[in-house]
Amino acid sequence: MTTTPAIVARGLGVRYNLRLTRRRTLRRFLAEAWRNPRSHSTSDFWALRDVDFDILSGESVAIVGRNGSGKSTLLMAIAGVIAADSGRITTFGRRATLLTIGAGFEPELSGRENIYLNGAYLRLRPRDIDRLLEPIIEFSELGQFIDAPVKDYSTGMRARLGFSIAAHTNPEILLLDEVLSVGDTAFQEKSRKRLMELTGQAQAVVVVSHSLDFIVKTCSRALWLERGEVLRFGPADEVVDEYASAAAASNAAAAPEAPV
Amino acid sequence: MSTAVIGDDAFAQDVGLRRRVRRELDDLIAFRHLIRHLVSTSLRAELSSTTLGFLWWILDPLLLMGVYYVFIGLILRRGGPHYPMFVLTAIISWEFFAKSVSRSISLTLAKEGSMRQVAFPRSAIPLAATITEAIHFVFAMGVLLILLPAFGLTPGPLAVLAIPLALLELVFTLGVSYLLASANVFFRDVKHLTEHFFWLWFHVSPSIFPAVLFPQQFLTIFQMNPFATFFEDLRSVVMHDRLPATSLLHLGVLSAVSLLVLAVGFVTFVQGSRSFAKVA
Repeated sequence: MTTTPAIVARGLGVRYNLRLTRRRTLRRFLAEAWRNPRSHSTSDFWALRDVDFDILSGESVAIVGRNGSGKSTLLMAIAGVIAADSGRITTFGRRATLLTIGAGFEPELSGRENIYLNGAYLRLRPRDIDRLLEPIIEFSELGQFIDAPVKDYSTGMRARLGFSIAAHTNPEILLLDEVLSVGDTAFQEKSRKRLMELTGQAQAVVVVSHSLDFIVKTCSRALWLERGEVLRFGPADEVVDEYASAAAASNAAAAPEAPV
Repeated sequence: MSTAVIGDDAFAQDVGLRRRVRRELDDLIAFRHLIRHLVSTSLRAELSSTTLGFLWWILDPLLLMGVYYVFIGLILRRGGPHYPMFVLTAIISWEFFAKSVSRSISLTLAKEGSMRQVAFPRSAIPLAATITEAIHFVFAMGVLLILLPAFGLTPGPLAVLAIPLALLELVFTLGVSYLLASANVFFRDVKHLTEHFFWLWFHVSPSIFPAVLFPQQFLTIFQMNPFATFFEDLRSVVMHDRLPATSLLHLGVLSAVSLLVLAVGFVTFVQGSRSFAKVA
């Protein structure tokens, strides 16, 4: 493992302005503003607060935490699709690729056409994709279905195609949000091997997963998020152990879920 | 250590608006394949989803022309022999504008999934939507030029002036598209309001009546409407081989206003797009 940083977060904070992002109709927005013109700060919700970490090239890191603890928001901030509202996050890679279940495909287009479209989103030229097409289709195990529209695919098939595209387009930072949990065991194992290959080539992998078993087998370190803040960041097996016992304890106490 | 190109500080708070806009423009060039892809995807979806395919690109304006011809030409017996071409010219010009805006609005919403995954320049979406409609416009203008002789009108060399007029309209259209597409992400009412307002806007422009029929006391307001210029001037150069009646000063002001609308629209969109992925 090298010591070149791939992702550096310093005091990273991401704020959701609930007024703008939750109220979708103009009427409610105006009514709210009329009744309470200075409620601006109270409608803010910090999904991430003061997050600091360094992730190195060649490392695979898992993010654990309960629903609503900010795991997906963190991946989106690393991918650069949402803004940091305080602090900064820097990625020292050519590009970060984020994979989420059921997003990023054009349902009416075939799997093959979606490979080209995804490539265009990743700033690849069509002739670069021509070269990658065969390995992607082969790895995805979609066979003849590659020419069927993606809307007819199962969730597992979509995840396979998405992972296959991401894993073959030379991502220097690969971010996976629960995508591998929907595939079957055989594909999961194959994907895990592929992730190991990527980290072996000094690429960084960050996964959000609820499968603690997968995390311990795949990741070197784990980052535990709780209400948008980093609770623990250390060796995967240790953090996972602590997290698992804390989750068991809170289940026993029947603690209510964190908001959002 | 390699320096990051995408996904690094592009969204950090300390990056000024000026730098963000410049970066967005650089990214639009870097992502030109994506823009081309979005355009061709839209066009192919239209061609494959309807039986008549690209014929709709001209059937749409022609059928609307037919409606107005029945009302104005046949029932009210106004408009004269050139009326179908008179109204068709305005319809083609208008549909370029109105459909660009509505396509930009809906495409920006439809790309939500991609926007939550990839850090591509969001301004590529309304740009691709407007280019798609510009292609429809060019196609429809071609058919219009073929139809004109059938109504006793011969397009002459001045028809070339339709190109700068269309470019001017493109600038204005793109600006409005950016403005409303970003507003609609946060307030979904914008799409509905736009539809009704545009319907009114079309009819208070010299679209189905010539400018001379409008009340003279509103002349100044009337002339401030960009579509008064777009429609009347397009008719002059395409149908009658005449120079536009609009003064050069007026065209200069309209160009400046259109560029301003584009600048304001683009900056608003770039600023708003920072929060697009947060809107649930």
